[in-house]
Amino acid sequence: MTAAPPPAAPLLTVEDLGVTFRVGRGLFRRPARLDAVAGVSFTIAAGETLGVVGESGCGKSTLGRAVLRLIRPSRGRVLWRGEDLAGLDAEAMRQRRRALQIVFQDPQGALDPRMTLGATIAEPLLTFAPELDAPARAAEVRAIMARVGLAPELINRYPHEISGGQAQRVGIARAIVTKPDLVVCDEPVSALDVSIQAQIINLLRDLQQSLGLALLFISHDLGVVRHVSHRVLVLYLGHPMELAPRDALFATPRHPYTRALISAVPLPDPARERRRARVLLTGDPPSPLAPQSGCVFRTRCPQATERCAAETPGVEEVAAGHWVACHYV
Amino acid sequence: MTPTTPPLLAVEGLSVTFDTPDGTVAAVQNIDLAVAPGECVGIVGESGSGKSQLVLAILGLLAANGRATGRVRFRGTELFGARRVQLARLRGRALSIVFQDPMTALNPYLTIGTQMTEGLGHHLGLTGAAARARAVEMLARVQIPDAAARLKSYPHELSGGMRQRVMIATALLCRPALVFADEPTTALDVTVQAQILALLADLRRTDQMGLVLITHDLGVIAGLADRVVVMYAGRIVEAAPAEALFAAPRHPYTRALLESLPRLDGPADRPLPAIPGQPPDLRHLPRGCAFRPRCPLAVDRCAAERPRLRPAGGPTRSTACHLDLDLDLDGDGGGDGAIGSEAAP
Repeated sequence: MTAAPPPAAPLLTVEDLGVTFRVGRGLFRRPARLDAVAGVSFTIAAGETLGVVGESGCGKSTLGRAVLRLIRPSRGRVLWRGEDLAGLDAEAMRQRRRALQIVFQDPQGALDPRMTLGATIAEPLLTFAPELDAPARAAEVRAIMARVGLAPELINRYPHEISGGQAQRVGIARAIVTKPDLVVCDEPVSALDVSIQAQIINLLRDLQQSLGLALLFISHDLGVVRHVSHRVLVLYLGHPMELAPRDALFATPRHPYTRALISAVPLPDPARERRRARVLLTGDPPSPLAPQSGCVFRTRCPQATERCAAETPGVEEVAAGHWVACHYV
Repeated sequence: MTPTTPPLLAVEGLSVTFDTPDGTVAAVQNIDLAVAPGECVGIVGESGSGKSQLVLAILGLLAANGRATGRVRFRGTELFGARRVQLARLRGRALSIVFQDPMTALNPYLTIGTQMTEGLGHHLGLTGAAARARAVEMLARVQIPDAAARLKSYPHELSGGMRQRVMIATALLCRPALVFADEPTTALDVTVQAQILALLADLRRTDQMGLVLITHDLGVIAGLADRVVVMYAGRIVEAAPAEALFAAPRHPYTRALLESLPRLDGPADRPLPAIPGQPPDLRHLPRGCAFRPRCPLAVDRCAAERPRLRPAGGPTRSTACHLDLDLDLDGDGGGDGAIGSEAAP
């Protein structure tokens, strides 16, 4: 896996995507609007991994679901191979789902406790490969299980009989059994033990390279994102802060939020960790229900000025492929 | 931390078993642990390592089906076998705990102020305005803005980071000599985590507070702990000063764990040297060393005989491994290759 994305026409193009929820609908209260995702644009090329990082409530999971149209965006466009997904009827969209899959955070919770692992992995084939008869399906399932490192004897087991790491391998097998082009991975290793995380990260990297998969890899963990991504998008309160090639983002972060985020990650090295100069942010992210004027990060930004309150910064390209939403870069 | 400082806490031969429908499960086995005033001891382990049960056992807070044996002395007072009243007097005052999940540890029906001042009246006889003043002072110390107004808030009105800071402030109200913090920042975002860790470090310095920090996050341990205890399958596999442990881990598990981290300051373009296999199942532990099925260096002896925790690499370090990893570490990562071989799930 190299830092440079493979040069190819975009598989997925997301333009000015926004998702708004109405919350707090009460008898005498007007529903409040919550912009979970606002003004997010990016592309993903075939075989490329775009990492999406941010803290809780930054809209990264909502973004992943909106891309797959599991949530209807309120603004913007999602183009799959140049075709607007919003224009498709239910049946046409269902056919596109063969190519667009998802892996969830809670591997046990994502599996049906009453289905065998083999049946779980085979289920998408009933929809997307109806021409396969039962023996052919079983052969396909065995091949996929071997591919993701699941022992063949697990085929008739149930989810409660396996560990979290194995359950996540089942989730991945189920996602790739339809031979998708893009897989959204929503915090795929967050629920796993440290020693198992590395196994699953390696598996995803390996599958991506060998199958040419594109990944939209969502995580709060910067170390994990750095190990799988070609490019990285940083979100804060639903808004894009920075989008850059991986090495540029981690070596020369330009947005004050990205810098604070990177400097807050503790390093497993006591000598360096204790000498480090931190960009300590004060306070918590403000409530998304009470949006501020101007830049969404300004209430915690160490560099904020009056201009940041008055004027929302646009997302500008400051170097090739390096986009930043800040007045002061 | 000098040998002359009497320990605040001395744990000897602590074991915990649970009666389950599947039989008796040994969750913690034969743990020795000492914490000096102002010292931070980090306990690292994955699920099933026994790190949380160890702390609950020390504080007498095990579930009803749990049994603890061994000795636990706090400032020379034996805690096991102490009368409930005596234990209750210590807990919350000299001994305190910060739980991982502030949403379930705080009572949703009571205001922050009620919950914070309750213990002050009980332990210190502080009530009314004096108790509220102490609560406000402590909330300000954990950087809760507008602390006086916050006393009237209910837990659901605060963000996760604020709730966790309230938990920490509550744990510190009676100026405890020793605090147990079980994954105190795991539920928090990294930017808020950094604030909390800075606060804990500050309190150790200013109040000579002892701290037992339980976490799976080796980065958090690296920032705070003086000494580190690594647990696997209910036992200590390695104990060492933090700098020495991170610089030259002696146990294959510690080394493998450090190698497998997707760290921000390491190479990003190679596969991670993952630890193969699954975390141990306490109901079906292998004979010999519990880490053997996942250990790249295991030899025949590891299956036959469980390694005892023994001194290795100086008087302040110990490890439970038949092999001496010392030699491997002299090379420039040659030893890492052995552990870092590709994962075979």
